Amino acid sequence: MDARVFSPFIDTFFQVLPGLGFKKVERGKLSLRERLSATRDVTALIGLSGGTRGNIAISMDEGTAKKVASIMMADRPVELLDDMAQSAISELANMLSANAMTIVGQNGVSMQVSPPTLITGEKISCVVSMVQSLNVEIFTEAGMIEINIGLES
Amino acid sequence: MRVRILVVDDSPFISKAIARVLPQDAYEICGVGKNGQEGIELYQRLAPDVVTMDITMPIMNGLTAAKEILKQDPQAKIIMLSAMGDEDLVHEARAAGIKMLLRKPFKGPDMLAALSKACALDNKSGAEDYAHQDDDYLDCFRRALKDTLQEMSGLDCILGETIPQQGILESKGLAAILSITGKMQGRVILDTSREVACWLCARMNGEEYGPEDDFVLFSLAEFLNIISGNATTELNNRHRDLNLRVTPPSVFVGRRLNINSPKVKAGIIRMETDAGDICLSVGFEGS
Repeated sequence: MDARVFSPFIDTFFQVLPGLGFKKVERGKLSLRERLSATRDVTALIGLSGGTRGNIAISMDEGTAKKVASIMMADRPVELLDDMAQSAISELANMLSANAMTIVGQNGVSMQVSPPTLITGEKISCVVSMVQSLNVEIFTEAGMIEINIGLES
Repeated sequence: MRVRILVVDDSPFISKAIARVLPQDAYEICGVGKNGQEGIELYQRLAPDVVTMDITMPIMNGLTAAKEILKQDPQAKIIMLSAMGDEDLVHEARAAGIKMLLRKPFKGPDMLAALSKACALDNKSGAEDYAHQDDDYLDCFRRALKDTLQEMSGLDCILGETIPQQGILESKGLAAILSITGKMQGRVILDTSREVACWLCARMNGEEYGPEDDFVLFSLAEFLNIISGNATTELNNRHRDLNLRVTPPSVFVGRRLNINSPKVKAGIIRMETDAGDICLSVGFEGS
């Protein structure tokens, strides 16, 4: 996997989250997986095309998602993962990927990202993309946000 | 009395395709011209009710011929057929007052609608433009869904009306998702239950698969990949500069699975099969 493509998607958390009011942003475990998988309650899926094809899945538990949405909306309490909260998560994914793309471009790679699609559910048992993927844990005060980066070739 | 149609096109394939979609009791092709020059001569000789005119042809293009015919007979009913790359000429045709435009490849019902419109049409009244419909992209996906199913499984299916999708898509349990980038950005979702997915996978591969078999997921992902690849290729061919590209598909399985793409306006195409429904949701931002 091309570091010029995947590292911007990790770096972007440290550049974007503090600006949104997150006080803690730390990197946890980094692991390589056989497939792209994101089995948490809430996942924002972003497609990559162009020079490199792949998927980015930003995944978190429901409790974390509510806290993330709350921070995004100036600490307004979020009881339910309703339309408003979902669009906040989706907007976060948008900002993270747009910022990452700026760095990818600076790295001299031509690529396009799709708008995020938000998947929520219970007991999500399997997420498949037929590519090897990098799984990175990002710890925030809202909880752990997992980023899965699966790139073809 | 049957409506007499003059077909002017350098491709014999097109005149065959037109003949194929016409009910023989109502329409007849009275002549076929291979270029604009022949078109003008045949129009004078045969005095057809309607002309279908290709735009790009050797010797004399369809636009020049149409203008000449309209000069001789201002009441002439002409349907221009445009293909990819004809955009500049389409603009010129509009400027010349030709209002009936149909894009190739056309569907039978569209050709019939254009013909019946042309017959009823006083050329000076405003006609409808068939060329640039907003739901053009949904039609491409409809066709791709039906054709791909046929190719991969030999199955014929009944497609329901395309209905607009509001808000969140409630999954039946298994959703393959693929994104599209380019001038139009969006996503395509193939959604069904695990049972229907297993059934479809068996039809495609000639073997039975259990509900826990990951091969079912890979098959569904590939099915979506091919549908989307075919549809975007057709759209790219029709519209210059679209540069649509598909991202690799993902498959989500779970309970109470909801899929939300807040900025996307989508249409749902429902496909009925013997085992149950399969939905294709196609949506683009701001479309």
